[in-house]
Amino acid sequence: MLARHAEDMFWAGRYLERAEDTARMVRATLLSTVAESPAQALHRMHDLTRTLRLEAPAPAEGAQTIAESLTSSPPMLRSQAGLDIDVQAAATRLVCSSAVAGSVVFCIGRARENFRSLRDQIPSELWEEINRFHLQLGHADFPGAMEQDPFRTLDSIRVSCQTLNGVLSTSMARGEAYRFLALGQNLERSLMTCRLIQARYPEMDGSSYDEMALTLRSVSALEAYQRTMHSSPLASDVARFLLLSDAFPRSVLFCLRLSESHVGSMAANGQPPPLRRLGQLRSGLEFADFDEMATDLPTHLRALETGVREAADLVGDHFFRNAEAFTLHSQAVKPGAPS
Amino acid sequence: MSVPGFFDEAADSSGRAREHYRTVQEWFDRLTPAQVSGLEEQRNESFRRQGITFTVYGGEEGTERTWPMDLFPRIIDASEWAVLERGLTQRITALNRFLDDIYAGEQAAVHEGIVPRRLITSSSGFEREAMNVSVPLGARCLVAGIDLVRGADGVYRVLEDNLRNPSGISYVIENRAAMTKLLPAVFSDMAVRSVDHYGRSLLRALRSVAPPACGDDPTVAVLTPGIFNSAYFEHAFLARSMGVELVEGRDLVVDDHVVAMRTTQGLERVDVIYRRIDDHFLDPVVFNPHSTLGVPGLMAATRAGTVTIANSVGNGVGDDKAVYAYVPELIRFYLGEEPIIPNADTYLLWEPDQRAEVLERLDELVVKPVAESGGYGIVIGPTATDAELAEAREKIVADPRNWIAQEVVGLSTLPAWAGDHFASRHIDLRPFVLCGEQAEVIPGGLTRVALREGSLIVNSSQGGGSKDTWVLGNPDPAAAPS
Repeated sequence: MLARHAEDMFWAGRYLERAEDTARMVRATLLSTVAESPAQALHRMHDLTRTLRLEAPAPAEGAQTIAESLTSSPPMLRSQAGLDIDVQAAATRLVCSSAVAGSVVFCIGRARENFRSLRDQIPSELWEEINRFHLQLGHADFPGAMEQDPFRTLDSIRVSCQTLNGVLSTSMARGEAYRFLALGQNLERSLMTCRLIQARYPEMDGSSYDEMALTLRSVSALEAYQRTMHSSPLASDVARFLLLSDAFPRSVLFCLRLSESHVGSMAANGQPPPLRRLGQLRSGLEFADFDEMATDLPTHLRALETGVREAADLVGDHFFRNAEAFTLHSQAVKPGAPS
Repeated sequence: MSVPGFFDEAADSSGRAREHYRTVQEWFDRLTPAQVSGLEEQRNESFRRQGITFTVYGGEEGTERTWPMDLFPRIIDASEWAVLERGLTQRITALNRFLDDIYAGEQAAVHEGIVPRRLITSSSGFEREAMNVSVPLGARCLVAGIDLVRGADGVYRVLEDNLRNPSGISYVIENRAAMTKLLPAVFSDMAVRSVDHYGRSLLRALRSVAPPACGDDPTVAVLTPGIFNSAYFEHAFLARSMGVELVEGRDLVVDDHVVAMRTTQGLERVDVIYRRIDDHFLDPVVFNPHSTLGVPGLMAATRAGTVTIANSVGNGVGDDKAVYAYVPELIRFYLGEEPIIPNADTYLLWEPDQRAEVLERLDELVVKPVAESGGYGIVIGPTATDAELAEAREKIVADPRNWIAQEVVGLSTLPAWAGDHFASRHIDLRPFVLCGEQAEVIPGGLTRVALREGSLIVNSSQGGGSKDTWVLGNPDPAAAPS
């Protein structure tokens, strides 16, 4: 497969995953703010923005800072959907603003651009679905719908993402194109889960069901967690589940295992650097003593995030830029060389 | 409904539907305007969802529009098609012989005085870089699109040859796919010949011109300028339907006269390149040094015979509109046959006598620049303003070699949907011919239609649309063309 196409596939996978995860996290956060004071709610949105590694949104004209609102406790300004107006604005930005790199609209636009240059590589059904999704998000009414009924809108985004994943898994041959896409998705997913734990771990004090539920809902893990961990509200149990679950498809370990197997199946021979790095990360988690990890979880999580990003870079060096050295050489070919 | 003075494809002089149009005409007669509009909406929605669009340059820069396909199909019956098929094969065979004679042969057509030498050397499509570069099977034009029109007398004539990068075949196939979904009932009543196999035929043709040394499993790639090109949709379509890689210049490298593409597993050799980039952008070493679309060293590799480029470099000399006037002679010269499909009457403006006559009758003729395609630069005398005619006159006098004039050919008409009713609109036809080991004409081709009332300009870049083109199978297998 062409290196350029592989790279486009990889990034299409990352953008798709990012869009879906962002929609889930925004939905979970909005849900948790419904019964909260405006200041608390806004604080949560800021936490979310940090989790997504995005700049905190600029406060709207005339809006109070968080500190001000905490002391003055003004009357709550409600949006059409009944949410605090600043919270609503921040959520709308994270979903609908094409100027925010990482918003759902931005990510789907990028994924579509990538797929557009891959038209010969992907099934027509996949192209039609992403095109339909893109047109839906680009429709003039879309930000309005997000204002009016954010939960329904976010649900429809999730369903569109899942439809895309369904088309992918049922119509794409398991060749390199599919594997690079799935690799991008799984690496992005592991990063998002990792960041979520980082942001949410200090907030869970073991007594609040709501805090636990918000964390788990952000990655659609609440139901799976309740079944396997019997709703333990302990922060360490939540973190253990999201990091190490063998069975939950959004746990960091689960994603790294899949990533490793995709890279392994594409490595022609031996152990190229990205495979080694992924293997180290995976075995580091697989054989970890979680109780020991829990004594300094933030440090471990930061190292893990860095490790995954390095692995992604190594994938690029090994598969996408392996023939770069030839560029200079080829330009030395002179015209009219003897045949 | 017919337009006086033009050939009506669907109805005879008494206004009755012609035999091969009867089923379709009756079917459309039964539809209410609301039903037709409903079908149109369905079609637009489907094209938009699939991203079947083209880009219009100029105006609002790079506007993407959905592909305009009219619902009323063009139908060609089996016996009529058999003649066209033979005529097209004859023409492209002669043109390939001519191109190979000029670039890799003895230039017999020049020595025998069939074509003046200065006509060749003054053609902007003539490439010295292609001299003495031989092409397997002499198939310099592997994919041709030959534009046909049908005058008031009902005779098909060749309007122009496209031997460089003819586009439109993807729309032929997408039109058919859309029509099959929109009007399934009509298809079941008629034996319409399939066009779906184009990708397979193209791949076979491309593989047949692979350098002999590369073995029996040559690697083919489609070379595109990239996603911003107006025909990118088609490039991707072709790569997908052949199951080969769609490469850009930056994906290819030339090392020791061998072309390779950068893959996830390192460099992989490429044997045949179906390029959809113009000659001048192919290789910055010998052509436009500022081109970033091409591949440095590609021409040297071609000359070394390690890779075949299709269509070949320099084919522009064959579809130069001044050379066009000589094609009937070339057919007689190379094949010893009479042309089956005639040319439109053409005047060469570098011949003083012809020029004088043309300048006198400028308001009755069509004037075309010789090296353009896509309908750009054409002046249609009867509809042009005085200022446009004066400008054309000035340009012709300044550079007569760059222009030809033709009698206005009354493009035949077919019903097309005009918002609330069907009305006669002018059409032409671009059949596609593949010339690998043997020539293959894809049944039908792209019928283009001028959607504006009275307009004779069918190019999609200038407000034209298209129609699905049905070639009917022969009901009598014994009489089927071989």
